[in-house]
Amino acid sequence: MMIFRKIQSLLFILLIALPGWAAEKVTFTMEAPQVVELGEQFRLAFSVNAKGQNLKLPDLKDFDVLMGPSTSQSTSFQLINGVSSSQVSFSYLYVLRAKKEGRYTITPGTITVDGKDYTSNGQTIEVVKGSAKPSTGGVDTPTTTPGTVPKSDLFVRMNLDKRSVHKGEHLTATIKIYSKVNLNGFEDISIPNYEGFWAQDIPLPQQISLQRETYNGEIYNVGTLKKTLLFPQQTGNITIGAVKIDCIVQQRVRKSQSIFDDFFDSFASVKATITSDPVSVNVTPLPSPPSGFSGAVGKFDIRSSITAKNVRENDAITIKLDVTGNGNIKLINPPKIAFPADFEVYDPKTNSNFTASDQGLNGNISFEYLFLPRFAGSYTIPAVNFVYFDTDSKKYVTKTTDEYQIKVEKGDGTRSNQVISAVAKEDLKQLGTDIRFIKTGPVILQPKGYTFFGSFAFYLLYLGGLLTLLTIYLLNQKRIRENANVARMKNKKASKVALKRLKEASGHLQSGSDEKFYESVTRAFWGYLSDKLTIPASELSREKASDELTKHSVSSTIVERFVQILETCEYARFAPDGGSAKMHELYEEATDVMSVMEKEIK
Amino acid sequence: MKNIIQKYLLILLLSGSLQAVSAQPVALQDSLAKGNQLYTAGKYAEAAKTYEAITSKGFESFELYYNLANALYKSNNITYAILNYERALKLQPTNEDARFNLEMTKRQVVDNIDLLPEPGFLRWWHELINSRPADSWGTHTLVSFFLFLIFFALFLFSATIRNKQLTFWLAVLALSYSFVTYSFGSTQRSKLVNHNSGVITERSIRMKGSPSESGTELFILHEGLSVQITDKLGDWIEIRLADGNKGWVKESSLVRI
Repeated sequence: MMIFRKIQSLLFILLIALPGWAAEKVTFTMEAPQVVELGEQFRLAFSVNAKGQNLKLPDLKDFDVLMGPSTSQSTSFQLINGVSSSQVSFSYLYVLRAKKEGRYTITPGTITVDGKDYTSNGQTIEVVKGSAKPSTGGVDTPTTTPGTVPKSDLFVRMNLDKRSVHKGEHLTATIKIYSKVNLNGFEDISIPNYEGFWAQDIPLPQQISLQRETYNGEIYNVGTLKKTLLFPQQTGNITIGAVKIDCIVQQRVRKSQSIFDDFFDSFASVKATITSDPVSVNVTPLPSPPSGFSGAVGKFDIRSSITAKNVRENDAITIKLDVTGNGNIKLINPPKIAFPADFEVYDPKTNSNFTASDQGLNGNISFEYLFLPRFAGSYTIPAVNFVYFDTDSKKYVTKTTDEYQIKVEKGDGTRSNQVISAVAKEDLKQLGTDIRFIKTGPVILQPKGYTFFGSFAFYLLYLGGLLTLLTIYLLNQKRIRENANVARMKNKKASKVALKRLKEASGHLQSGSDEKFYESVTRAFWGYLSDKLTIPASELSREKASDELTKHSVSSTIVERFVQILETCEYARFAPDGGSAKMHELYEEATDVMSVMEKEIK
Repeated sequence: MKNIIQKYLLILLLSGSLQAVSAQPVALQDSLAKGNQLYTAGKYAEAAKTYEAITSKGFESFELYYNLANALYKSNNITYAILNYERALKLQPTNEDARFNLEMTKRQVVDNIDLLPEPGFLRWWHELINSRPADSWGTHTLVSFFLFLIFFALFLFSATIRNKQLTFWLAVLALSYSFVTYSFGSTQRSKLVNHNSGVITERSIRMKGSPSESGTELFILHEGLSVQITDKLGDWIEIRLADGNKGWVKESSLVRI
């Protein structure tokens, strides 16, 4: 030992001369076992990683100081890629023995390094009554048969910090190995898969360091193999399966009772399989959640931020919700934001960052909502309600973010072409379906089953129409018949009337009134033709009369004579100079033509 | 004189029957308005009751059935909503709103029946007949009959042969149109009067192969299904489904439209 120390000192002197001494943070720590047996010897060590002075050590009156303080130093030096670094450590060592049972606190020690005071940690040492067979130190006398390890000497336990939790509330499962034997290593550790839980391991140092702890009044070397945060996903009684570890234990084997045995102990590696007892947790369900419950259980705070509030159409905006706190962070659902209906909204991007520790899962989770307002206008993005279950108050808590007013302006011309074509193609966004609204206009209520079609009035209209037509037809027929009668009568009377008028004319001839004579002759002829030919008198002219007479097969000589008489009359009416003889002659001629005409006309 | 008396009699009769139609108690119009108010206020069940009170007094109209069906739909009475939409569509076969709402309502009916494919011409023909209610066809047939009378009168009085030919063919055309529309109208009226279709109102019934309890069970039908009624025997009726299947059910398990 002394030789080693000297070599170390030599090395130290050699190294101290080297440049590039890295200035490191000074740490000053105290190390001691947590549990000791009464009368047991144990070490109390202070170590500092720099050369210090003025070491002040705590009072150790509760213990017998068997040795010390003895100092030792060690230096390590490494050269990596041409960069050298070195470490130095000084340690001060005591060997102590407890005087009485109880808990004793060793106050921190102080040391001055480069003019600065450093204080070490304190330490509590529990002194328990010594067991019958000391586990360390002295001569180990195996009581068991070689090759097996008794259960009381080596076992594994799973500790849960809580046995009854709410769904989603965390608990810590710790796997510890308790040993009184010389553990050499582990071959295989099978951890139960925590079915019904979401598990998150708490990082532990790679090297499993054994610490002394009491369990059932006995001292064991205890190593923490694994610490896991568990978040129950189901309710009810959940049982966690057993932990199974294959350990390699070094056991002293005594071959024969030879005198050398004490000096040359032979050891054998024994494989021991240890299994923990299954443990169970009672998970109570959460009270009935309010709407919008995010699934978060623990204690949280929420903050929101927005990238822009005044944008142009189709510019992207991001709202970021930041949930910070302690709880089942990983299992929080993104809160729903009620965006205006015609925004283009993308699925939220989730980012989480947390650390697992004995206190639970601490950290934050952020949700980024990217969206594009498609049309200009003013919009309101309502506040987001984040609902979580508070494990302390056992109540639901709602945290609310700010609401945002967004002003969207019309897009600039450079992008409008694309935008417009996209807008034109957009389908109507259906928000829901419903039946169409009732009719509220004026209503005509009818007796049930009533139709005008087929009713009495309907058929009456047919009948009415038919009767009207029939009536019109019959009336017309009658009129035609009557008209025909009138014509026949007139025809019959025509010559009579004509003769009467001619007689009138002869009266005028005798009285010598010339003008009236000619008028009477003219009227007699026109009236006769009008009645005979059934032509209204107003429509008659000399040409028309001669045409009609020819049609009614009157000979042309008579027509000529008739025209001659008319001409003479008209001439004489305006220039009366004929004398009575001429008038007499005309009268004779007229009666003659009339009688021939009467015969010839058909 | 006889003709004039006949005309007056006709007018008197016409106006008398029209008065019977339009003489509706003011109270009924008021309760219709009240029903509309209740519906708008979201009190659907009460609105439905108000509308039903009007129909139970023996009055009907497209709007009344339509509003009643809406109120029933909103108060989750799907089967009777379908019944009343069908009734409304009988009065106005082409009303788009009623068709849309019926389509919406029928989505909630359990049975999904494929329509029997109809030949294109026949479908077109049925659609043509169904495009107007009976009274509308009635107006068509009357107007075209009067047109026929006018053309016939012109035919009688026209002097030239050309005019006579023209008016003759026009009269024939008008008369045939009048006959066709009369037959359409009478088809539509028979649908309205005979009530030969119905809606199943029992939650689920078994359609039998013969009109007795011991008949072979053919199909299970659920409420809300519209069927045609083709025959009746005692308290059993023969129904025809839209896919062409026929069977017998108890008359009490459906309500005629």
